[in-house]
Parts: sequence; C-alpha cells; structure tokens
Amino acid sequence: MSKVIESYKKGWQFLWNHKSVLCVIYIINLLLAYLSVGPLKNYLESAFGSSTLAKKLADKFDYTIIMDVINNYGVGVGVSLSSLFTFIFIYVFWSSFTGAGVMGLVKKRKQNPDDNFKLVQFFIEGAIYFFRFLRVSIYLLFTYAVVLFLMFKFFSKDGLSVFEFESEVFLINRFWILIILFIIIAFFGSIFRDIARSFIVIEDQPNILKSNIKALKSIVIVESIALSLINLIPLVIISALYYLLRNVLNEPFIVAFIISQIFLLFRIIYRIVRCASFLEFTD
Amino acid sequence: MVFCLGTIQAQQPALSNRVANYNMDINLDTETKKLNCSTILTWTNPSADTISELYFHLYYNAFKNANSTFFKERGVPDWLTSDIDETCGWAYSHVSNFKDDAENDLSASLEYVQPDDNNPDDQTVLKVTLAKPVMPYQTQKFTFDWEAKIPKTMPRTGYNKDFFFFAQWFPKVGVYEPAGMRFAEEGQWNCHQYHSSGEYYSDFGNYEVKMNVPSNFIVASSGVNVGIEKKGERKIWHFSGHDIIDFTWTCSPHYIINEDNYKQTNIRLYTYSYKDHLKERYFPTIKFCMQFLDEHLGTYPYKTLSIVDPPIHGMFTGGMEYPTIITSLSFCFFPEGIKTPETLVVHEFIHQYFMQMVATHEVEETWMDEGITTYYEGRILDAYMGEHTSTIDVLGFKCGNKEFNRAEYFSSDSRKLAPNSAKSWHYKHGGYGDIAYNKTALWLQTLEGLLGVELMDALMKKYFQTWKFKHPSRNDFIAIFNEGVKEALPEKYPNGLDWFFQQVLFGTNECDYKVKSITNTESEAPRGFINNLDDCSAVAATLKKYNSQVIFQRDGEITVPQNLQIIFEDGSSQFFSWDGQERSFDVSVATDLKIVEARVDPEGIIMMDRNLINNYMTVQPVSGSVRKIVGKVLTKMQHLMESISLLI
Repeated sequence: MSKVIESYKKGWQFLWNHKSVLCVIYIINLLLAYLSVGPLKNYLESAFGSSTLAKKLADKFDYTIIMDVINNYGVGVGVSLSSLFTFIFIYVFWSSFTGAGVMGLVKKRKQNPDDNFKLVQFFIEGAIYFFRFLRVSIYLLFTYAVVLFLMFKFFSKDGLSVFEFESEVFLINRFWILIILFIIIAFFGSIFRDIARSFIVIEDQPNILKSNIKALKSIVIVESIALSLINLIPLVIISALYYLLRNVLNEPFIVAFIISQIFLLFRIIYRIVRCASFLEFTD
Repeated sequence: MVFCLGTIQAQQPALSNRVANYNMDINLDTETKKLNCSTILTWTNPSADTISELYFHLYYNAFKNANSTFFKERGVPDWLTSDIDETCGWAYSHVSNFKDDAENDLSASLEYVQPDDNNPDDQTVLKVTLAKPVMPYQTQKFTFDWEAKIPKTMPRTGYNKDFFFFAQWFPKVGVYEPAGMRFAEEGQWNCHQYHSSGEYYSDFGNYEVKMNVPSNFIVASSGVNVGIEKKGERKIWHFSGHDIIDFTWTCSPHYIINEDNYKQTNIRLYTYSYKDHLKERYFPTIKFCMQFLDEHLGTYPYKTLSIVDPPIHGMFTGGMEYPTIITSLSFCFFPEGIKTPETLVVHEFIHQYFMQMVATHEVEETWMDEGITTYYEGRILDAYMGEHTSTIDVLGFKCGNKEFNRAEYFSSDSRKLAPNSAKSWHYKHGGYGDIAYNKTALWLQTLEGLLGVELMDALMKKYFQTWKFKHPSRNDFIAIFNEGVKEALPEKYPNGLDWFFQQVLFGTNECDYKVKSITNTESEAPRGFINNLDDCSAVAATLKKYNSQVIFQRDGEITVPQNLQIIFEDGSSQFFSWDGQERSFDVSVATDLKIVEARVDPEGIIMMDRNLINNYMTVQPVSGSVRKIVGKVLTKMQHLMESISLLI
C-alpha cells in the first residue's frame, strides 16, 4: 500500500514541477470550448438583435424565450449543435494526446531527472504515444458499446411493451442495477486504460496487445483499485463542493464563472495526477 | 348480505332536465371478457315534436373490425393493438330484445346508420324505429338486452390482464335537439358515429347501475356506491349517479383506495399499491383545483369524485374525464419535478365543469370542451405550482403549464391545418391537440389580457352559471361575452367582441406584432420661409433636443389592439394605444431625452403573439446579455468535454 501512496505523491510532485502542462491543457480546453460556441453566439445575436428579452434569458432559464428563439429563428439551432458535437469529438483526441504527453514526460523525467523541463517535450512525448493511446481509447469505447448493448438487452429482456408489464417497479429496479453495474465497469475500465497506457509507455512497443493483456491482469489487484480510489476521492469531494457552491453562488455570473473554472482546473489536475501516479505505480 | 359503503343518496332536487335515465344490470365475465346487460331506458321527449325514431351510440362496435370509421381515421398504432388478432382483442356491442313500454318488440327495426361518412362498415350508430312514437314532452320506457365483447387495450377502454375499464361502453341514446337548440333549425337527432377524436354529447339523466363482478374485484365508478351485495363467489356493486351525461366504471382485484374530502365531496383515489405514495401529490392538487373552480365558477355539486391512476398495463385508459370519475397517468418513479400527475388530475377535473356540467358537444365544438379546460388548467396549475415550474422543474429545467402549451402550439407544423371551429373528425391530417387544446387556451389567455382578469372571471362564471346542465353552442358563449363587454367596457368595445371571435374561431391566421425601429434625431431650427416671405432664414425657436420616432409593425394577419410603451434614457416612460389595424404605426415625440427602449404589448397580455422576442427593442446593444448566455454554455461545454475524456 505504501507504493500506492508513494505513486500518488509522485503524481502531485509531477504536477507541481510541470505546471505549464496544466496551463496548456486548460487553455486548449477553453479555446476549443470558445470556438465551439462561436456559431451559437452569432446565432443568438441574430435571433435577439436588440431585444431586451436577451437579458431575461441571461439572468435565468426561461422556457418561453428559448422556445420562441427556436420557433422563430430555428435554422441556426442545428448548426450550433453540430458545432458543439464536432468540438467534443476533437477534445477526445486531445485528451488522448495529453495523456500520452503526461505519461511520456513522467518516464522521460525519471530517466533524466536533471534535465531542464521544456514544454515542447510534452508535445513530443504526446506525439510519440498518441496513436497507441488512441487505440486503447477505441478499444475501451468499443467495450463500453458492447456493455451498453448487453445492458439494453437485459433491460428489455421481457419486451418493451408496457401493456405486458405488471408494474413498472421491476423496470426501475433493473434500471438502477444496470446504472450501478455500469459505474463499476467504468471504474475498472479506467483502471485498465491507465495501466495499459503505462505499460505502453514503459515498454514502448509498437504492438499494444501485450500491454493490454498485462493491464487486464492488473485491474483486479488491490493496489490498482486503491490507487484509483485515492485519485477519485478528492474529485468526488470537490465535485460535491462545487455543486453545492454553484447553487449558492449562482449570481453574479462572474463569480459562478470563476468557480466553474476553478472546478475545471481541478478536474484537469485530477487527470494529470492520475496519469502520472499510474505510471509511477506501474513502473 | 348488504354492505352500505356510501351514504344512500337522499332525494335531491334535480339539477338537470334528466332526459335520458338508465337502469342497468350488468354481468361481467372476466374469463370470456364479455358483458351482459339488461337495460331500462326512461327517455323524455324534450321537444314539441313527435318522435318516432331513437338513435343510439354503440361505441364498442368501433372496435369490431379494422373497417370502422374510428379505425380508418385513427389508424390505431400497432403498439396498442399488436396482439389484437392473436388474443382476439376485437370487440362488439349487440342489442337484442328491444321493447317499448307497450311490450312491442322493436328488434326487427334495429338498423345501423352512418350519418357522418356513409361508411357501411361502421356500426357505431343504431337506429330504432318506434312502434309507438314518443309524444311531445312525454316520457317512455324502453327495455333491451345487450351483450358486449370487451376490447383489449383499445383507446380509452377495454381490458388488459385483470384490469378492466369501461368507458363509452353501453348503448347510449343520442341527443334530440328541438328547433332553436344550438344549430338546429328544426327538430333533429344529433348522434354522430364514433370518431377517433372527441366523444361527448349526451343528455343528462340518472343512472342506477348494478355490476355483478367476481368477489375479489374492487369497483370504481361514476356516481355514489350505495351498496354491495355478496352472492356466492361474486358481488353486486350498486352505483347511483344523478344529473350526469355518461356513466363509466372500472374494476380490478388490485385497487387500493385512499380517501379525502373537499366540502361535501368525498374524493377517492383508486390505484395500485406501488403507486400509493402519489396520494401525497393527488389530494392536495385536486383540493386546490376544486377550491379554485368553486371560487371562480361554482360549486362542484356531486357527492363523490373518483380518481383512478391505472397500472402500467392499463395506461391506455389514462388521462380521461368521465362524470364524477377521472383517470390520471403516472409512473411510480416520477420525481416531484415532473408534474404529469398534477397536470392530468387538474385537467380532467376541470372537465367536470366543461363538458360534464356545461354539456357542450365535444365532437362538433371541441374547443368549448378541451380548449376551455386547457385554459383553466394553465391558470390553476400556474397558481398552484408557479408559472415557471408547474409542468417541469427538474435539474434546472423549468417550465410552466401555460408556457409549455404555448411553445407546444407554436412548435407544431399542424397548427394552421384547421380553424378552431372545425369538427373533431375534420382534423384529418393532424392539428387536433394543437388547435382544439392549445390554440384555444392561447386566445382565451389573450382575451383575459384584453378584458382584465376580473371581467374575464365574471363572464366565465356567468357562462358557467347560465349554461350548467344545458347544451350551449359557441353562439351562446359569444353572446355572454358580447353582452358582458358592452356593459362593462362600452367605450373600448362598443360592438362587442365579434371581431375577435371571428378571427380566432373561424380563421387560421396568426398574430405577430413587433417593434421595427427606434430613431433619435437631433432637432434642427426650422429653415426656409417660415413666418413671412421677406425673411428666409433660420428661426430661433424653443426646440426640444430630439425628434424621436418608434415604428411598430404588424407581421401577422390577426389584428388586436395593442398597448405601446417607449422608455427614455432617464428611465421614464410613456404609453400609447394602437388599434393594431394598420400594417405599421409610428409614435413620434419631440423630447429632450433620447428613447432608449420600446415595447409592444409591454404587459405581455397578447399570449397568442407568435414571437415575443421582437416585441422588445433597445437602442443599446444586447451583446452583454448574449455574452452572458454564451458564457454559461461555454462553461457547460468545457465540463462536458472534460467528462467525456475522463471516461475514455
């Protein structure tokens, strides 16, 4: 267990020594999000023109105004939404790249601890492992798709005709069981992902199959689970705090925005620390 | 042995003319899914005419085969009838042994007729030729037997598993309209075929109904339960309903009953045990609704109100209204923020006033039934649960009832398919819900805005009090309003409201007014020959600093008087009126202050205005507000992206 705690500490040390990586990931997140809402901004400006109802909508959720925008200026809705989805897709690639960058950098720094850190190393390491990391993500995505399909089959094993059911109680029970099951699978999925990626970086082989098999064997090891949980606990606490604060400090907007950005920063920190600690743990 | 569960109704004065009175003994066979019944119909001729024919609705024949008018119109979805052939879920209603009070057997004269579409396969209207005519204002008794095969999971009625619901189920006599009643130029029967939308139009009467069911079944019904008699393995439930236009009942071995009271009315909730917790939502809601209508229209005069929340396999019967019994629809896991149970129970209870007591013709004038009900649904639910939270209030998504219905209407591409005056079966290609329900509610809200809520309430109360236990038409509704506004607002509406009803009832046009532009031009001294022909020069005059102008525009075809507001840079404002007739209208003012904002309909009373966004204009750019909205979306987007990257 001491190895777990040591790995976690080293994860934080890595973050502390490479704050510029955190800044880059945050800035790219902000930039992509900003670009994604560009069409929406143009759309809203054309919809509202100079209507003072924009202020009402800015202050709070207003169903009537939203629906009047959609019903009277609806052409732009599809464009705005497709733009949002496009950027989500791009960010998935970027997150694989950042994972590769962080883990590659941890390995590099361990090999050459006295070298000065340059940010470009993060990008170089990211480029080296990106496609292998992406393959792991794709395998994981495929696995989730299969799991979800099987869950749907289980959920609907008695058919979906409501007229055949005695009551909806068993449906809702089944639904919650599946949700819990999916959370557990996702938990172990993330352990698999991080250990597989660690092996990819450590062994640096073009074929990732061996790394994946090793990772599969490691996901049920108590230490792996403990490391994942240690990483998760602060995130869960901070998330709870954020949702609590968000409800209390919804106004003024700038305060809500700053709190939201701090929370986002913490989520990125979680990702960096997790990547670094898993590599330390696996190595 | 006889158990009396309800108080036997004391002889109370008649509330209605009690034209059609039924005495029915019913036997339910839960194995063969059949009903057998002997009926005594006591019918009074309400006219000076001699009646030699009777017409009956045989609703269950709509489900006899796929060629009925009901099936052809609706195209009942497969998910509702997927196993209809395997289980023989088809139904029928067969009348036999029809006799008058002179014991003449009229069975040979029974004949199916199709007054609406001549569809020979439709058997939902039965004509009986009388051997002994019913003389003017006289009463005659008729007896007949009938057998019905109960449909499986058909719209509104039927059985599934051991749940049974009987709506539009018994042979019901049509309405004889004497000359002058509603649109009748001469005495006539009004008995439409069973169409896929709209059901109600019946005479008031008393019902004495005995249901013979298996002893483990619990019965909920229209009227008051006056006794239960145990006979071997079966029980006979006796219900008595007075001054009602229809009779509906349901039974299941699984019903549990919760009770509460509002004034003299005993409210009973029939549901299944896993939905028992919903009583905490149903009872406060229905009591608020009853109080609202009590104060705004008049007292609910019946001793009972039964609310049925069917099980999931009985969903096909949910969300319906019947005399003194209504159905809701819910799932046991509904969070409190999804207000479907409240919405349905309120909507269906309002129907006790509009179609049950004010017995309009749902098939011919749907808006008077569903539309007025939707209008009150919005008022009651918004008052009860908040104007922005009365339909949904979940995870920050909030929506009020009125705003939900308005958005639903303007989102529909069927909203202009028919005028409000269309008959229910004329909505061939959609639009029934949008137009009959939502459009009516919107223009009634607009009317409320134009007249003021107090006058609106007074006129609606007058309409209810004048026409309860009668059969009004739209002309009667319009007459109440015309008379009322001429009296209360003679200067504003000297000719009444025909101009309004003409547009909203008989047309498909829409309403949209907007602020087109605001200009503030600096004043210049007059130039040229001003005071005399000898001096051509600028005149020094005391001028206001700006000549400001606001142009308002009518983009829609419907015209409504409009209030206009202009707001100056110091926050002061001026109000103007526009009759709304012209396509555009300007307000010009000479002022020392710039106009910074203009509004058409600033109080937001014209709810049928299609686009509220263009009703408001400011000369200041709204980019700050847009930035704020975009900022909120941006942060959500950031977190969404990060969440997805966490997963993979």
